Amino acid sequence: MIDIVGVSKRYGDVRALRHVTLQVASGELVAVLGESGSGKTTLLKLVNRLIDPDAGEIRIDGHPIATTDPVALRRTIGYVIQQAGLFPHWTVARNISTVPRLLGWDAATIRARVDELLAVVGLDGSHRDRYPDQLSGGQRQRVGVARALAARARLLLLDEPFGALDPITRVALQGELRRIHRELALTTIMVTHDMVEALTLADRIVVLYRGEVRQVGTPVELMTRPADDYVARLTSMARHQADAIADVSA
Amino acid sequence: MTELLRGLPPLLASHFVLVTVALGVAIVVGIPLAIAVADRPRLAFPIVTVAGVIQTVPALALLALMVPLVAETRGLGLGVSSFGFPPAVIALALYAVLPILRNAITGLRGVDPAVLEAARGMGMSRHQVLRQVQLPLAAPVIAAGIRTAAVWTVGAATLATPVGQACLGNYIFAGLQTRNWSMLLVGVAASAALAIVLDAILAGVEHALSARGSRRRGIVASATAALVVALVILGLPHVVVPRVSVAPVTAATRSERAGITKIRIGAKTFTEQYILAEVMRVRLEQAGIAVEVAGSLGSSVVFDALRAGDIDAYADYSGTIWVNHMHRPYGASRWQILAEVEAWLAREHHIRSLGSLGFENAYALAMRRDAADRMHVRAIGDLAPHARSLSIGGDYEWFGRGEWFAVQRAYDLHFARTSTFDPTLLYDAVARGEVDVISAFSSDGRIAGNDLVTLADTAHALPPYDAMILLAARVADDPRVECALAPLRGSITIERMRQANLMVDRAAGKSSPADAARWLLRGLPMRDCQD
Repeated sequence: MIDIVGVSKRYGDVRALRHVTLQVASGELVAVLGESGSGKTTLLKLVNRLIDPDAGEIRIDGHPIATTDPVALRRTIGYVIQQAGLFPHWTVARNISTVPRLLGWDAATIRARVDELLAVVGLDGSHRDRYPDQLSGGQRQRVGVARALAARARLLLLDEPFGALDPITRVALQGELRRIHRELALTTIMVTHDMVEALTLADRIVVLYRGEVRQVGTPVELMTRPADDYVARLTSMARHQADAIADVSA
Repeated sequence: MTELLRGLPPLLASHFVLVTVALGVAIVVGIPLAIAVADRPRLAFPIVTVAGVIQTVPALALLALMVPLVAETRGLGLGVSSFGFPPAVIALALYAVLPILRNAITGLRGVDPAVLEAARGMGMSRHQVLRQVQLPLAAPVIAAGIRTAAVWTVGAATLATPVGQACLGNYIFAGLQTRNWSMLLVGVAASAALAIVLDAILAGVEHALSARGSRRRGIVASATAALVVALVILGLPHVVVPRVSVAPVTAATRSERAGITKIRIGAKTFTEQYILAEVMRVRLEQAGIAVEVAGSLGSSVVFDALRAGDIDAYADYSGTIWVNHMHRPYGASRWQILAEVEAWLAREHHIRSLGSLGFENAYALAMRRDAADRMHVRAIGDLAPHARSLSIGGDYEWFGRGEWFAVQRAYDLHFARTSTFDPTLLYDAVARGEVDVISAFSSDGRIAGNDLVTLADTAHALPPYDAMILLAARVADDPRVECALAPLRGSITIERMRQANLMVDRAAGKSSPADAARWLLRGLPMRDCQD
C-alpha cells in the first residue's frame, strides 16, 4: 500500500504539486490523469524518489521512503517511461536483466527470469538478442515492461507508457497491462493524459489540475458524479466521443 | 639516402613514444575532467575556454614556454628536467586536451535524457549510470576526439626538436637549416605516415566502439594491446628517467666526476652549429668518449640546458651571451667582451669557456656585389643616402634585436621596407634581388657563394660574436675532454668556417655536417688523447 500524505513540490515559482494526499491499495491500478504541467509526472517520480518532496510524506507498506536509500528503493519498484527508454547499446535480454544484475543474481537465474518475462509480455525467444532499434514501438514497450518487472517488483510505475504507440498497438498493450497487473497481483500507478485510457484501464482515477487533486474516484464515480466543472468537462468530452462513434456505427 | 634513413628508426620510435605518452596524459586528464563538468555548464564553460585559449597558442611557442616554466618550478616540484621529454610531453598534452575534452563533453551530453532517466529509475547509482550507460553511449564521440588529438599531436610533436626532445622534427629542422630537402622530406613523410597509421588504428577503435556486443570489446582490446606493445618495444630504450638537476659544484662531488665516459653535445638551429657539434663529436670519440648530439635547440633552451646539466657542451658566441643573458650595452671592444663573458659564465653558472675558436659569427649587413659597386657602397654609413629607396631583409630575430636599432641609430638609416625570412632563404632573397640588403652572419659561406659583400661597421654598432666552446661543470675538469677540445681554441679561421658552412649549405655537391667537420679538422695539429 502506498500512502501519499500532504505532499507539495515547487520548482522556483512554479508550484508543481500542492498538498496532494492519495492512498493506493495493494493490488489496485490507479491512473493519474492530467494535462501537461498538471504535476502528474512529478507525483509519479516522488514515489521512486527520482524527485524528493518539499513537504509531506510518502510511505510504502507503512515505511516512510524518505529514510530509505533511493538507489535501493528504485530496485524494488518497476518503472516504465514513454518510448521505453531502453538502453540502445544492450540487447533485449541484457535490458531486461538490468535490475537483476544490479542486485547480483547469478547468470542461470537471470537467464531463466528473462525467458519467463519474455513470455509474460508476449515476446518469443527470437527477440532475446535483438537490439532496441531492431524492434517496433510496441515491442520496445513490452521489453520496457519486462525490464521493470524483472526483479519481481510488486509495485509498478508507468509514465505515459502508451503515449507514442499507434492505436491498434496501444489497445493491445493496454489489455496486456491489465492482464499482467492482475496475474502478478501488482500495485500499479499509471500516468496518462488520455481520459478514455484511464476510464477503461484503472480501478480508480486521480484527476490533477495545476498541481491540485480535483477528484479521486472510480470510473463510474467520475462519469456520474464529477466533483467540479473541470472534471465534468473531461468526462463529457469522453462521453461525446463515445456518442459520436456510436452515431457513426448506427 | 640510406645514410639518411639509418637515423630514422630511433627518431620514429621516440616520436611515437612522445606522441603516445602526451596523448595518454591528455586522455587521463581530459576525460575525467569532461565527466566532472559535462552536466555543470557553469564549470564547463571556463574550462573549455581555457583549453581553447591554450590551443590558440602556436605549438612552437607553447613548447618553448614550457622550458622556463618547468625550470622555474624546479621541474614541477618533481625535479624533472626542463629539457627534452618533460616539457615536450606537457606542452603536447596541453595541446591535445582540447579536442578530447570537447568531444567527451559533447558525447556525454548527447546521451538521450530518457535513457539516463530510465537508468536512474532502474536503480543504478551515479557511478553505474556513468559506467554502464553514459560512457558506452558517448564512446564513439569520445574516440573521435582522441583521434583528432592524435593526428594533431603527431604534427605538433615535430616542433619538440628545439626544446631538446629527439623526434622526427630533427630531420625537418636540420633539413631546413642545411637546405637538405631530401632530409626534410624524410621527416615530413615519416611524420605523415605515422599520423596516417595512428589515425587508421584509432579509426578501427572508433568503429568498434560504435559496433555492438563482444566484437566491440575484442577490437578495442586488441587495438589497445597493439599500441601498448608498440609503446613498450619502442619506448624501452628511450625510457626517460627524470633527471635531477645538477647541483652547484662542490668539492665533495669533484671526485665522482673523474672519468667522463659519455657527453651530450647541444647545437642550435643553423648549419655552423651542426658542424661545430660534429667537430666536438669527432674529437671526443677519438678520445674514447661516447657522444650524443641534441641538435636544433632553441638559443635560450641550449644555454639553459647547459646550465642545468642536461647537455655538457655546445658552441655559443660572446655577443649572444653579452646581449641576451648578461643584458650589457654595446660599445665594448672584442677582447673586453670575451673576457667579461668568460668570467661571468664561470662565476655565475660554473660554465667553462675554452676561448675563441678563432672566428666570429657576427651580424653584418650584406648586399649584392654589383649593387654595392653601382651605389659605391663599401661601409654601412654609405647606405644612408640610398636607404629610403631600399628594402632590407632579416631573420626572425633581427628586427627585434638591439643590433638593428643600434645600426639604424648609428648610421641614421631609414629603409623603405623590412621583410622577415627564414635564415635559409635570406641569402637567396638578396641574390635574386627581392630585397636589397640583408642581415647576414659573417661566417656564412653563402656570402661568398652568392657573390655578396659585407659592409664595414665603422661605428662599431654591431657587437662582436666570437665563437667559443662552453663546457658544463660536470665535464670541465676532465683531462680527456680537455685534451680533445682545448686545442680547438684559435684553430678555425673565418675563411675555413665560411668554406665549411658553404660545403653543407650549397645546392650542388652538398656535404653532410659530419663531412664538413672532418674537413675542418684535417690538417689541424691535434694530439691523440686516448689514454
